[in-house]
Amino acid sequence: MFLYTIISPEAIFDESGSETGVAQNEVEIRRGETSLVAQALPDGQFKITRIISTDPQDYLKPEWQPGTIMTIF
Amino acid sequence: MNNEETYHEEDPYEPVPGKHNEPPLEQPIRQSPRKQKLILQNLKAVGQTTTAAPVESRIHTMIIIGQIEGHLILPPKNKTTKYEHIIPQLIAIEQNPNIKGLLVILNTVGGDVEAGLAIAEMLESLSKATVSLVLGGGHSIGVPISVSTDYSFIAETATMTIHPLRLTGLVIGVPQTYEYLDKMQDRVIKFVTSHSKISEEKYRELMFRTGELVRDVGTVLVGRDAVNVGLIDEVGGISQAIKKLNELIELKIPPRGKEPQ
Repeated sequence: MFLYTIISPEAIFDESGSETGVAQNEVEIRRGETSLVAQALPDGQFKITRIISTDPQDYLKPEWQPGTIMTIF
Repeated sequence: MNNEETYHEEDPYEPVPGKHNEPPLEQPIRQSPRKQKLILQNLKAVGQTTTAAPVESRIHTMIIIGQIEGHLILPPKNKTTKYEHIIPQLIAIEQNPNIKGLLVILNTVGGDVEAGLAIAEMLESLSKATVSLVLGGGHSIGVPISVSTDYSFIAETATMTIHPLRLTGLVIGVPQTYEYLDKMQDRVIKFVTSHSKISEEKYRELMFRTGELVRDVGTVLVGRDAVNVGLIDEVGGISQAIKKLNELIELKIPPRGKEPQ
């Protein structure tokens, strides 16, 4: 595999800094055409961390704002 | 926007024992606006009903940030854009007749060569109007992606680094390894030079220029420099990019009666 990047491979593959605020237990939730990346919380709910969509309107939806707690049942 | 917060709050429409002792009014199935809102929120959260869809935007946007992740999953501290997200999105955009244009926003440090070239080729062959905007940085493999669109913009302060490819990890020191590396590099150079106004000689010169970067060879192009060498079409921001995209959309819409298919 070729990585063509300005970041040094030591920095990319350095796994020592796993405590640097890296979100754990991330899951992807599908909502139609949109993917929401969310963090699974201990109480069974999900905290949205990222929206993956090409529709700019999706980023304005209040219920999908990063930080929102989602309940899935 | 926490659903739980509203859930536990006291509902003024609900009779609270000991607080208001009047008998409930004769309203059989009366739900408070708060409760109605909650039901709606739950429906939205589980995706059971589709609410009235807002006007669909004819311009969609693709944001390519951090590392472009390809055949290998990078450690979680890297911010990545994954090709398994981008490629299906591009196919969906190509097939959706309501989407007329695509704005690609780049702020990338580079990444996997194959994934980057795959995205660049997909953007290049997309039938919709495409405009790219380099914000912050469009380095390494971000360069072919930025030139793959119909028209490209770079922010005044954005930078693009052009440098040679490197091999990482275990390298078998045989001439074939270097031939392969050279071939990979040629793929990038060929793509960039055939999709922008820069000549191959100039691009190679920028790529192998010594003395500009401290620990490597290569060139950093800031905003207008990228336009001056012919890599990017124009210096601009979001308003110029959207304006250009709308112009390109008008050009691409076939005249009446000549709709394809």
